[in-house]
Order: sequence, then structure tokens, then C-alpha cells
Amino acid sequence: MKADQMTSSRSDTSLDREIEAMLAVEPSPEFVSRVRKRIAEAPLSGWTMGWTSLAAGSVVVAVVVAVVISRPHEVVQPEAMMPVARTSMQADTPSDDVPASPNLNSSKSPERYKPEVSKAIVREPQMLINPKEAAAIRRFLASPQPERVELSLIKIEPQPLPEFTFTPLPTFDPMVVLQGDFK
Amino acid sequence: MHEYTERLDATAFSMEQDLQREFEARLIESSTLAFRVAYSVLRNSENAEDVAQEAFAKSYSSFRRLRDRDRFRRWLVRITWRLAINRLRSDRRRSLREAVPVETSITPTPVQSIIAQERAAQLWRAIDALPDKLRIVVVLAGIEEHDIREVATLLRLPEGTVKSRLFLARQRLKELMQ
Repeated sequence: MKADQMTSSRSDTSLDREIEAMLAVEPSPEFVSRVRKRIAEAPLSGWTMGWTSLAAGSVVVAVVVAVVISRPHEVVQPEAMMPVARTSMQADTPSDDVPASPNLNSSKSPERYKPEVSKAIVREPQMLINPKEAAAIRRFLASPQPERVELSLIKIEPQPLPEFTFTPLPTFDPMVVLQGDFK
Repeated sequence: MHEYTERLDATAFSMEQDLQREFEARLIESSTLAFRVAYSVLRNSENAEDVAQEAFAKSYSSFRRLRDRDRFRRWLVRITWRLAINRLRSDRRRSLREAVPVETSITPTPVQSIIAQERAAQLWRAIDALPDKLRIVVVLAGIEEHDIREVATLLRLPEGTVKSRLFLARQRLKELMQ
């Protein structure tokens, strides 16, 4: 058994030595200098690549951040909300500008105002604002405002108080409860 | 501002110089390793040099993230092996392969030389017949007298796995050589 193991390990060692000898090949003396030359000839893309990719990456990140930051402002802006009210009003009541006609609600009408807002923005206020209320507010705002009234110029004459007449209150006799009344 | 830019340029230049120096050190240290890995596949010095050169060029372009020595050597072995395999597949001049290495220490007489050449050719055929994962272990263990730990580091494998693969490879080689 031991002899087998020894023979096996010896053959392993000799095999390893053979492989080592087979691989003991040296590159030519010019090999390293040729590698240097090739690297020197190649543009330093390796070094510059990092910087360019970093710069491109930072530009992309900046654009994404700018888009993300600017998006909430678009939703809050009152300009974006106004057309919503206008559309809801148009849907409910005929506008003063556009004459009422059977084609008013049809999408083919060329005069119809088409707000350029996203669907998310359109839907949300419709749930929150009653279209009739929105129409009423809009009508109120559109109506001509009366001129300012100077209240200090208005004089109110004191009116005489009506004459007070005393009327006597009615009097009642006290009630007398007898013992046998609740039996 | 101008002074600051100049200082920044100087810093970048010195960093680049440092990298160049480090790469030069790695090149000198690992050139034989890359060449031999390529040679073990291609069996042709010229082709092996070409492949090793290509591998170094690739490693140069990625050297920023390969500054660690072990990482660099691991990457270099892998890329050289892959490039050599690709080269072998596409190479139509296989017939021009060198039968044996130019310099061997076991060629004292012409008769022995012929026997050794025949034996080496047989062994190469056996190595070529091994599956890739066993072949790379045998080759790396045979290069520069790498021990198990070094082979494990280069292949990023546990030492036990390398040992068992080496054992299996030897067994297979012996079978093929008989």
C-alpha cells in the first residue's frame, strides 16, 4: 500500500516537473518593450475614459435632478389649474365666448380649448372641485366688478324710536290641591 | 484661479505618472506569467506574445481599477486565457505550432531529445484534452512553480477546490498518457 502511494507521488512529481519544463518558455527580450510601445502608441483612452465617463455621468445626473425638481412646480402652478376649471365649466355650462351648439362637447370642434396638461393633473381637481362651483366662481370673476363705494360719504339720519307702551302682564290665582284629588 | 488650475493639472499629471509607474512594475512582474498562460494554449511563442501583448493593452485601459496586485494578476490570467482560446479557435495556422518548447533542460543527447519531444507532444495532447477548469489549474501550477495558494488566489477559488482539481487533472493525465 505504502509502495503504491510512493510510486504514485513520485509519478505526480515527475509529471509536475515535466509540465513545468514544458512551460518554462521565456518570451523574447523585446516582448516587454513591444508592450510598452503598443501602450504608448494607443491613445490614453484608459486614463481619459474615466474622466469623460465621469463627466457624462454627472451631466446625466444633473439633467435628471433638474427634471425631478422642476416637476412638482408644474403641478402646483395656478396656470396649470386654471384650464382645468375652464374645461369643467365648459363641460357643464355653455361658455359666453362660444355659442351653445349641439357640437360643443364634441372633440371635433376646432375652437374648443384644449389644455396642455397631463391627465393626472386634469383628473385630480375634478374630484376636488365641483364643476358647478368652479363655473360659478369663474363667472363671478369674469363679471364686471362694481366701482369702489366710499362708505364715509353715506350719511344715515337717526330714526326716532317707536313709542313704548306698557301692557300689564296677566295674573293667575294660586292652585289649591286637596287630599282626595289623586285617589 | 489660474494657480489653482495649474496645481490641479500638476496633481493629475503626478497621479498619472504614479499609475504609469505602477503599471510598469506590474508589466515587468507579470509579463512571463501572461506569456506562459498564452503559450500553454497556443504552443507558439509568436502568437503567445501577441496575445499577451493584447492582454496587457486591455489591462492598461482598465488599470485604474486593477491597481491591486492580486486583482491585476487574476484579471490578466483570465483575459489572457480567454484571448488565447479565442485566438486558437480562429487560428488557421495550427499546423505551425511548435511541438516543444525551445529551451528544455531534459535534452542531453539527440536520442533522448527525440524521446523527450515525443513525450512532451503526448503530454500537451493530454493537457489539451482536459476540461478548461482542470487545464487552467494544471497550467498555473506548472508556471513559475506556483503553489496551491497562489493558484487559488489567481483563480479566486478555495484552496481545497484547487487541490481536488489538481488531483483530478493528474489522474486524467496519467490515464491519457498510458
